[in-house]
Amino acid sequence: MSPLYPRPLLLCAALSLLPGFLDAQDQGASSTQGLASELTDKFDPSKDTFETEVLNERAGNVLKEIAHGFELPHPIDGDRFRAFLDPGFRCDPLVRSEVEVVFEDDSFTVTRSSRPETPDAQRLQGAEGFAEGLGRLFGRWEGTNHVRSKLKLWRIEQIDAGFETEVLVQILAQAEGRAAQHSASWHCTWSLPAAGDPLPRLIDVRIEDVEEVVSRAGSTLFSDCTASVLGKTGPYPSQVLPGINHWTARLSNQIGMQMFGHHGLAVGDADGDGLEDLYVCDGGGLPNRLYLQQEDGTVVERARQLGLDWLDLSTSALWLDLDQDGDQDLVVSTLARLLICVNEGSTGFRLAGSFRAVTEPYSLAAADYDLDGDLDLFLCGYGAGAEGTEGPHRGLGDSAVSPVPYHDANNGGANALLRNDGDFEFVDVTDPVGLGQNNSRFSFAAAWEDFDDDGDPDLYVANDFGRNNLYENRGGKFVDIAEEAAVQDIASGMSVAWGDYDRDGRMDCYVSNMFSAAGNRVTYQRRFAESSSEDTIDKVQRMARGNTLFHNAGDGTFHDVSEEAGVTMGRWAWSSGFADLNNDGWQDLVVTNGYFTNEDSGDL
Amino acid sequence: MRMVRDGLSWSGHERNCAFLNHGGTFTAISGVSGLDFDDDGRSQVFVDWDGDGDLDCWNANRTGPRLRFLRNDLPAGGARGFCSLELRGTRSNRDAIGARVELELEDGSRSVQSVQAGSGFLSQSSRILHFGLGAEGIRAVRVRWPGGEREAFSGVSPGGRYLLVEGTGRAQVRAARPRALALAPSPPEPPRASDAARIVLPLPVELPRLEARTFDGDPLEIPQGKRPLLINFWASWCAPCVAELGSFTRAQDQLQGRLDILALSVDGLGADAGEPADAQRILEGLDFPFATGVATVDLLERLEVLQETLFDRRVPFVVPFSLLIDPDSRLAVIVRGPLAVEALLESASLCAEPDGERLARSLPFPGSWALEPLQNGGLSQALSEGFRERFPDEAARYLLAALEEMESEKARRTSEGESLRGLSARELSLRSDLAGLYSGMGELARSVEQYERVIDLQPLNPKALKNQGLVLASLGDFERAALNFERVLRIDERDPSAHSAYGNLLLLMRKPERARQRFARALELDPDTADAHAGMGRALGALGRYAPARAAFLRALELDPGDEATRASLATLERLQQRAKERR
Repeated sequence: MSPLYPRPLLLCAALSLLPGFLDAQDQGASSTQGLASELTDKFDPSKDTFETEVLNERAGNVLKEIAHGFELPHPIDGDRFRAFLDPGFRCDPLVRSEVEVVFEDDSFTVTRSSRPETPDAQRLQGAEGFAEGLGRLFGRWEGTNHVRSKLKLWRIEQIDAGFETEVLVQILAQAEGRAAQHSASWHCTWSLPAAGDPLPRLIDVRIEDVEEVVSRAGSTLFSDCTASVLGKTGPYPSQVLPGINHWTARLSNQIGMQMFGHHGLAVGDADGDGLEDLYVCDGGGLPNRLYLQQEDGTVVERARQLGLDWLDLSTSALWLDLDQDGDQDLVVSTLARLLICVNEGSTGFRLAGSFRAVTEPYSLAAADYDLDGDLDLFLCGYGAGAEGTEGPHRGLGDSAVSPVPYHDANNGGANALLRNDGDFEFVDVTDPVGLGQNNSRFSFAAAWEDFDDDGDPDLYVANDFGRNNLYENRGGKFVDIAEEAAVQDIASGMSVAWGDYDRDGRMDCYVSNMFSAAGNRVTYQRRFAESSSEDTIDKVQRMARGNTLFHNAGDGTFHDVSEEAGVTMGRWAWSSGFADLNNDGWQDLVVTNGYFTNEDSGDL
Repeated sequence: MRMVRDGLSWSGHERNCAFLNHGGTFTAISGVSGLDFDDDGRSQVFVDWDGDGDLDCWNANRTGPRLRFLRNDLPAGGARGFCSLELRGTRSNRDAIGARVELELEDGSRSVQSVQAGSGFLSQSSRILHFGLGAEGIRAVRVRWPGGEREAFSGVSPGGRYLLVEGTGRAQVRAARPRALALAPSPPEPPRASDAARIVLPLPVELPRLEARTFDGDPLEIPQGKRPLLINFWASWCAPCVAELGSFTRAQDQLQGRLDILALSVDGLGADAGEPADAQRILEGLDFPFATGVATVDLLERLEVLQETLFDRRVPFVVPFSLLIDPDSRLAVIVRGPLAVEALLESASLCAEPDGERLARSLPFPGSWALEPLQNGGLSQALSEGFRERFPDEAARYLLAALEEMESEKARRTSEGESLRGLSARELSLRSDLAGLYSGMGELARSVEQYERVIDLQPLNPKALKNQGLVLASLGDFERAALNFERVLRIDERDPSAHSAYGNLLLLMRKPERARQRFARALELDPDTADAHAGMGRALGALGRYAPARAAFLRALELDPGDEATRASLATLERLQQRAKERR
């Protein structure tokens, strides 16, 4: 017998494998998370991975104090700023003598100025000089009774004995019947905090790209008339006013009440009275609502009476005439099922069919892709869901599978194209028509447009964690040409909209992404560069840049014109769209923002 | 996500953006547009809601208010013009989705828009096209219908609303409606947030183990019985708690016979001042007529996990806090904050209602489900996932409950002649989970039993066979374990981990040569597995082939430097080598 049979050693060694082995077998799904969390950690400013993030936090505190100073009644005492400014502080004048009027109409005047070299003598000096400069800035907006300002630090680099930052400055000054908005880029030089002093000090501010908009009629173009429209409806106090946080503490996630708040809107004339109405999706356990518009512009709520009061977690809906009978039917995307609701006139809506199309459904977009005269449906699927599960107890966004790799994830859920075969029958034709190609991404939204002017609708799909799709319609079959057309836009795609922004007759494309100040700061750091490959750095930097405007070149390709057009900074963007807000014929852009606002003061 | 659930913000307080397009370049007008709310904005749609010739906006938000109506106050009249075109397909789809309209203006410029259904994020704006005209007149209107057919339309003038029907060539005027609008600036005022709530659960929930004590420190039996039970958590330093106990005391004639009450003091469990003795004095002062005791940290932790699993938003545990337990010992209602006697009685009567009624009763508004949630034991399974990390015993109990629910669902479907589709897949996943959980808890015999059930359901399930084999090996039942691995390898001979696992077992069975063959095959299939190299080292060592054994251990450690067991094996091996050398 071999002497290597001392039983305890081998037995323990062999047994010690067992628990680990079992774990590995039973938790296969979680093993993909490492890589993603490694990358996301780099975005997370709460983890002090980098020294500069500490500086950023402190400089941010100084900037907050300065911004707060802007909001105080004027004139401001220079002492207010003394603690943050180096004794030798210098700053470009906040008001430029030479500005160019780039736009003017009944609503707005827009002026711009670039940075001429300011002679030293004209620069503001010390705390008094800074306060005086502010006085001149605000002095032009007489009667200002409300100021809101934000100084956002989005790039930081250490230099000898200090550091430099790029800061985005936005100031809104409102007066009775007027308002002015001042935007600028500040290039700031700081000294490091002295020992025992938590705050760094500003040494120098160079100001670039000053742009101002003065509203000429009314303090803002839009006014919030919410209560007058909705105030008399039953759901107003109890369902419209409280936020999702109210419900996520009271209604169980097991019935589909989740924290994300991804619930959409659809406008259409539900009752055929010539006034457009609004359908509102909501979380699981809260009924979707149908607000019918009255002659006076207010609404009555009729979801229950008309059979559209779905309690299932609903993400999006579309009003469509699915059977060409002249009224608007409704398609509702709920977590478990896509619902086809038929407009039966005065008796309301009938559920004609419901089926499971994708896991984690988000936006819907309809078009007649096969040009047979009826409308087909495209539904975006985000995560792939957990294996072997079905039904509402699985959440949105809580996908059991994490995106891998983070900047180019290809393990998401499938999207579906549903062909309308008449009589409210729909057939999943995703694979047969070629839309199965690159169809495992985390898709949030899609929009149809005939971008190549050949008469059939093409489809752009915006994907989180990576590249987007542009499916060209070739006689009812699709080919993903995103790469050739240069519209992959590798970033965190949240939504897409088509519009002709430069009025050349071709449809351009705006994609909303996530602008991350933290991502911008961290990914441009030398230490981030040392820890990652160049390719990864480029991709991750690109992911944090923000929104993208693609100009349709007319030859099947697009050009990224986001930066020169000035439309990247959409923050943590969700919806985006073209709309001519001031009737001047040019399509303006609007973006909704913000991920999770809670009642705390800080931000992750 | 965990921190967001706890109440931190993440890219919060961000304001919506608007960019004014002038000649193809943009200027941020977020502030002066009046669209820049710092709600967590999601969907946004545009429509000329009030019919005054400009685009108004509806927003849907995550935070309150969930909806905003933002009216465009563009000055009416003046130089500014617009026209509004609704398209109707006859050969094309009736909504004319995909049709494109080109307006040629007097100055030669053009504007192009398409009819769309779904754009942006979760948004459908009006499909009536709204064209701003500036000060220009309209020279021509051309429509390209889906499919590419082109049609010119006459009769469109600035300021008008028209219907363009495919094939008619002439725009129909939509008569202006005289409307007495009742819209005015009226920003909504969301209510102040409060954590107080009476939460009826959508299904009664099996309780976790609730460990409480008497004031003397003895274990306290939680009363279980024919009546609903209110467990009320309170503290001596909490005035609303004491007031609540007082109200229960005064209402004792109303309450007794209809429900039981157990008041558990949390004094001494947190950082707050207060000791059980303080609580006891207050109870004596009140002459409190119901059962009393003290809560334990274990109990509070289990309640925390329970709530965290049920709700996306985590609410800190604050007294007074109550649980209403139904006569079947299941949790029916959670009350955060004080509970009035009337509300208590109403909650108690709810316990008498059938389970199927609870879902509707748990919701704040009536409505319809397309697919009713919480069927098939999903809730217990979710709770088991929630408890798995901190309380595996609890997780196992919830899995058993889920299995029971599944069995009764099966019985129901069988008696009603419904299809049993999906149930066996579900049983499979529940039992696999349970088996894994038991083995982690050291309940090996139970684990083997659950794997057995899984294998009964799916005889060719290699994962279950392999895992059961490992558990059997731990139990010392080597022969059965070996049979499992033989079966696994018959199903998939190319699974290196199965070869390795079998090799380890063969080592335990003192069959080093056969073990060596398994490891060799494992390494053939995947040469970079640390486990297989380590096993190979042991097998070779057992066979007395020290030099190649040493090489195998070193390779294993190269692949997995943190493997202490292999390091120990290597040390033993080196001692043996040394001894052998000395002997020689």
